[in-house]
Amino acid sequence: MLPVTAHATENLQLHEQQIKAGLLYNFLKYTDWPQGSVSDSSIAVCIFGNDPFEGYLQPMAGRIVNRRQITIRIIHTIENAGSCHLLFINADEKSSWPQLLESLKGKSVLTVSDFDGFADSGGMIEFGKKGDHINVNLNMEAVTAARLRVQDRLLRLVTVVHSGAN
Amino acid sequence: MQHFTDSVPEKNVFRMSLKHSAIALFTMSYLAYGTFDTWAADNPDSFALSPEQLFNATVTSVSKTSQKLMDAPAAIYVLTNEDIMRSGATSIPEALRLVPGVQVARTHGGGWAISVRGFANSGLGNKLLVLIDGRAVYDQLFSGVYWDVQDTALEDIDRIEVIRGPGAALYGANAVNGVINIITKSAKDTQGGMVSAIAGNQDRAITTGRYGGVVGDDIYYRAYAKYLDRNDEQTLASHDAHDGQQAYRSGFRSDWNSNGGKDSFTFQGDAVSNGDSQYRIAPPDGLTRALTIEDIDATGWNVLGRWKRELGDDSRLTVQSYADYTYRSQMLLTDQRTTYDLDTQYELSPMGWHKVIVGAGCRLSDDTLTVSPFVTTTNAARNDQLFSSFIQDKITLDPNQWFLTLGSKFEHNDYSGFEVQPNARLQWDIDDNQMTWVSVSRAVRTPSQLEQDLRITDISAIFLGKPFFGELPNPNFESEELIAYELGYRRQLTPKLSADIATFYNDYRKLETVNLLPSGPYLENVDLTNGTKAGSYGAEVSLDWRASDKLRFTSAYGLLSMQLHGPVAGAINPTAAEGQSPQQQFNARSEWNIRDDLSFDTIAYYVDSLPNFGVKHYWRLDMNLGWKITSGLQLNLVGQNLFSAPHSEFTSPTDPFTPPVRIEPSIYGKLTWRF
Repeated sequence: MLPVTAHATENLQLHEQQIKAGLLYNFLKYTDWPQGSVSDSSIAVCIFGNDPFEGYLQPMAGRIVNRRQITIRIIHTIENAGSCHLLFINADEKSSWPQLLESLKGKSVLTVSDFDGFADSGGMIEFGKKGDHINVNLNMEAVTAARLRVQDRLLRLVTVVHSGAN
Repeated sequence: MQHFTDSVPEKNVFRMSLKHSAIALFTMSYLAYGTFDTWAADNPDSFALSPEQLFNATVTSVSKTSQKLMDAPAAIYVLTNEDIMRSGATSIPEALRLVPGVQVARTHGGGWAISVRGFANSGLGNKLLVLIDGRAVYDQLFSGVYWDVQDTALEDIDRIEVIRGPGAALYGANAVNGVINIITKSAKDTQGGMVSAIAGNQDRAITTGRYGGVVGDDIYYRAYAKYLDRNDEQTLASHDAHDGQQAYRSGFRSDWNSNGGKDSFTFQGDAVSNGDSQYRIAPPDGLTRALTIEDIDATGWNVLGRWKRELGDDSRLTVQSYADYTYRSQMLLTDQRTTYDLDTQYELSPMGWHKVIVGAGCRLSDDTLTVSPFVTTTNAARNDQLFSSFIQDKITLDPNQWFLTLGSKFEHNDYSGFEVQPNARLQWDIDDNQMTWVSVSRAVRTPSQLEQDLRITDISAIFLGKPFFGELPNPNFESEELIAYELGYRRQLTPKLSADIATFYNDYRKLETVNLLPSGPYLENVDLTNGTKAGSYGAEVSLDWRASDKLRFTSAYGLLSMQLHGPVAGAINPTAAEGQSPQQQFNARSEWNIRDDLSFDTIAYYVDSLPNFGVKHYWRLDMNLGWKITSGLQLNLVGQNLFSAPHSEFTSPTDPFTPPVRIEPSIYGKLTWRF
C-alpha cells in the first residue's frame, strides 16, 4: 500500500517490531561495508533463532538498498553466521551470544539484538525502549573493529556507548 | 469425430447446461478497488520511513499482523503468496481450494467452475465478482468468470483476498455472493530475476520468467512471460478427454513515487493467447448429434494506470483507469469486447470519528458477436454504458469498541436501469483478542446478453420428447436480488491459535428460471424469467495454529444449505441449483519446515457430492516437498490428487452437452531460480 512519508512525522503509531524492521533497513542503508566483504548484487540479513518480527521484516526481502538486493535468512547454527552482512540475534538466543561473538571475530558482520546488555557485551546495535519510543545503543568500538562505518545520518540519532569492545 | 460412448439420457430435464453448453465463452469486467483493502492501507510501509520518523514513532500496543484481518467486519480470508506457493497450486483456481466457503470444481483440463456460497450454475459462477489489480474480469455476455484465461506469474501475486457475502455496496453489481481480489506485488517487491519451470504428467510444462529492475532512484519495473501446457484429463471411458490447454502470457508493471512520496503511480498491462478444448455434443452439420472436439480460442490484453495522492490528515485521492480487450471464440459463437473504465475514489476522515470513502466511475463496453445458425442475437453490436457512484462511512460509535459502517452503491446500467445496493455493518471489538460483527446488505446480479438478447437453438438432445429446442430472448429479464444477513466472530485464542466463524442467511428473489413457452410438436421453446425464490444458510469456520516456527496447521470447514422455490407450473427444474454445490467441504493443511532448507506441506480436502450432477463426494490429498538447494535455487516435488482414482468434480454424467471428464492425479517437479 501507499507509503506514508515525509509529511507524516507528526504522530505515527507503529507496532514495535515494525519500527525495528524499519530501523534494520535504515542500518543497511547507512552502513558502509569494507570493499570485498559484500557483493555488488546482494546483501544478506540473517536472523539467528526464530523470527521475532511477526511478519514485519519479511517484506524487506527482495528490496533494493544501495543497489543491492536484500535477502533474509533464518539461521540456527553458528557456522552459518559468518556469511551474513547484518545479523539479528533473537533475544531468546542470548546464551549463544558469547560463542557467536567469538566466531564473528575479524568478520564484517553488523550485529543487532534487543536483549539488555547486548551492546555492553560486544554487540554493535542494541534496540531498547524508552517510554513509547524505540531507541538504539551503538557500540562504536565493536563497529570499528569489524571495519564497518555507520554514517552520521544515523549516528546523530543513536546513543553511542563505549565499553566491552573486543 | 466419434459417437459419444457414454449414454445420453433422452428425457433428462436440465437447466444448467444452457449457458455452459450451447455456448460457454468470454470475459469482461467490473470495477472497484478501494475496498476492504482500506484496512491494509492504514499500515504504512516501514521501509519507506526515515530514521527520524521511526525514532519518533509511538509504539502501539496492537499485537500481531493478523490484527489487520481481525479488524475487518466481514467474512474475509487472505491467501498470501506463501500460502499459494506452498499449496503447490499451478493456477489461481487451484489455490482457491484452501479458502473456506469457496467451491472450486475443475470442469476440464483448463477450466474451473468457482462459486462462493453456492450458485456455480453452468460453470460460470454468476454471483461472484473477480478483480485482478482492480480490473474486473466478470463477463457480461453470460454472467460469470472464464477461469481458463485468468492467470499471471503466480510468484508475483502478493495476495488473494476473498470476501464471502455481498460486496456490492463498494464493488457494485454482481458482487452478490462474494468478491475475489487478486493483487500482484508492487514492482518494488519483485526486483531481480526469477525463472521457474514445471514439468509433470498433467502440468506438462509451465515456465515463467520475470525480471525486475529500477530506473533512476525509484522507478521500479518488472516484466514477465509465461507459457503453459496442460495435459488432457480423461473421459469416463478412460480415454483422453482432449481438454488440454496451452497459453502464452506476458505482462509488465511499473510503480513509482513522486512529490516526496505524496503521489504514487502504477502502470501495468498483460497480453494473453490461450487455447483449450473440450468434448462437446454439437450439431456440426445442423442435423446430427455428434461428439466433437470444440476448440476454445481466447486472446486478450489490458493496460491499467493508477494514481494515488496523499492529501494529509488521513485523506487520499485515487484515480484509476483501464482498457481491456477480450476475444473468445467457440464452436457456436465468437465474442469480441473492449472495455474502458475510469474510476475515482476519495477517502477522508472528517472529525476523527468518521472514515468516509466516496467514489464515482463509468465504464464503456463495446461488444461484437459473431453468430452461428444455432446462436443468434437481437443485438450483434452493443455499446453498453455503466455509471456508478458510492459512499461509505465508518463511524466510530465508541473508540476501540463499536464501529458502524453504512454505505451504498448507486449504479445505472443498460440492462436493468438504476440499482441501489446498500449495506450496514456493525463491529464490536469485545477485547484485544476477539471481535464480532453483523451485517445486512442488498446486492443484485444484473441481466446479461444471454437472458435479454440471445436466441439459442439446439438439437443436441431430445428435450421434453421434442428434437428441437429453442431459448428465446427475454428483454424483460430483470436483476436477480439478494438480501443477505451475516454474523461473524473472530478470536485469537492464544498468541498462536486463531479462529474465525462466519454465518449467513441469504434471501434471494427473482432468480433465473427456465420458463416453458407455447411450442410446436417438434420444437420446445423456453425463455429465462425471474420466477424462482431461494433461501440459503450456512457457516464457515477456519482455524490457524502456528504450533511452532517450524510447524503450522490450518483447517477450514464450510456448510451450505440451499432451498429453492420455483413457480408451481411452467418452469423447468427450478430447484436444480440445490444439488449443484457441495453441502459440506473441509480441508486441513500442515506446513512443516523440517530444516532451514527443507519444507514439507500436506493438504487434505473433502468435497461433498453434487447430486444434481451425479458427482460423488471425493477426498483429495496434495503434497509438496521443497528443497532450497542454494540461496537462489529451489526444487519442489508436488503430488496432487494423490491416492484416489480419477474422479469428476463437476460436469454431470447426464449433462447432454458436455461429456464429463475425470480429473487425474498430477505429479510435477518445479525448479525456481532467483538471481
